[in-house]
Amino acid sequence: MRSRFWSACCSVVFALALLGVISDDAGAQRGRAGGGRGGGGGQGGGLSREGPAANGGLSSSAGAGSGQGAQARGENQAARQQSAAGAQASRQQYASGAQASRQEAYDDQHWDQGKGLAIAATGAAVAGTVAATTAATAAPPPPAAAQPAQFATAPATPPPPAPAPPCANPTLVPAGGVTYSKCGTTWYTQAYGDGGPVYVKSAPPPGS
Amino acid sequence: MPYRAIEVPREGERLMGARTNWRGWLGAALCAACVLLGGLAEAQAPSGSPPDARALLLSMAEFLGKTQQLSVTVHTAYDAIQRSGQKVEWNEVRTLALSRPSRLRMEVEKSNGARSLVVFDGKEISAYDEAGRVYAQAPQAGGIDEALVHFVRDLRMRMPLAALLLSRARTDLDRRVQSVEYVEKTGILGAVGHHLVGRTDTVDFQVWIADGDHPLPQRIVLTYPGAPGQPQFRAQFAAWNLAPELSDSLFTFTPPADASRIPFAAALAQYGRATTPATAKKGGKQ
Repeated sequence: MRSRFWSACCSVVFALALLGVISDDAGAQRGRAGGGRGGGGGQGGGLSREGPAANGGLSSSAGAGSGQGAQARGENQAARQQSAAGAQASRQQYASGAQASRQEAYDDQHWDQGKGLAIAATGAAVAGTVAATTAATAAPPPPAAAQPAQFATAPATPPPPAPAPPCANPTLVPAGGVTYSKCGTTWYTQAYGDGGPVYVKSAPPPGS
Repeated sequence: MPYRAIEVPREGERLMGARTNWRGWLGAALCAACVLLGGLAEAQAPSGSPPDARALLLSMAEFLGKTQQLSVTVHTAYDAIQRSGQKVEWNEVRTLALSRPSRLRMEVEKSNGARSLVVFDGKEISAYDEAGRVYAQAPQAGGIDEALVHFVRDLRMRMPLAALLLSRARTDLDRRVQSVEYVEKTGILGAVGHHLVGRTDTVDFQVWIADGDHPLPQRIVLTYPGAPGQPQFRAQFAAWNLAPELSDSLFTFTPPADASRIPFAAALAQYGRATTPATAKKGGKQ
């Protein structure tokens, strides 16, 4: 009799605890969702400066799917149908060649559409950065100026702080004119993107 | 009777003459009224058909392309769509100096105070970030046209409305603009200008072009209808100077002593794609 009583009590307590956990989780989810909206998109407090309008181009890759791109796809399909009588190998070669030349012409005409690099502050990993950075900095830098680069006008707003490093206390390793930052086991180098300097993942510096 | 016979025609002639005079006066009055009403209507209606919008647009592009030296300040703003769907407007001030065939300088100040500098000196393209104390350089092959395309397309850097700075801006616009219409003539922006609206295949645009011998853009609004939220880019031009005093030092980039040289990010990405595409693609997803 007692054991039944205690087992019933345990079951009730367990059920209540389970309900509490579920409701707590649901509340947390609601809270996060609300916080996300209130926080401007839930991007860790930061607001995005990216987007197709930032480039101010007369063409946009964002709208290419409904315009020229769609037309190019249509033409590509027609080209495939026309050459259907031929051998499959030559048909594929023709289609890929035509598509490549069309894409090249399209890119040439839409040179300012701003594809972007999609590199965030500590963004995409890029292989082979050692050679690239070495190539980019191979030329001897111009002689250091006695006076810094001058801006013609005074800033209207106090300048922001320098961009933050990829982690709190990176290990800095200069090599070949490039400063590498090591965070744990990951290496970064700084590069100049469309929004200013960014850190990109890189291969380790030579000799490390 | 003969007298009467003689008089009747006289009376008839007089009556006929009076009727003829009355009709003549009525006709003349109607003609005068028509002329007056026509003149009034013409004075009240806009004179003739609207100006040729495409011709106005291309004349602006040709004028810009043929101008050998210029300086201008451009207040720009663009929408960035956040994950929440909200639009945030970011503002910048760009000060441009251009000297054809090969030199350009653009100072940029963002709304958060960050300042940067882009210089084409004819041999090198330099970009400098003041807060980061870093700069990047790449060889400049050719004049402003080639450098602008390389800067935007290959180095993937920002240079809003770069197409208007090309010496072949007229050809470029003529090829890309699919439709353009005349909206109105207005002086609302401070000087009399022509308001046009048009489309490329992916961008809707509005432009206000100054009336007169110097068809310079006063304001440009670009809308990206294919992008989520249909963001806009807006530019307001001020302080146009077509005869600026541009010294050589203005187009000479000398980095500060404490600045570090870094590569363009696009150079890294291109290298990564060109050498190990599989790895780069995999990395890009991280």
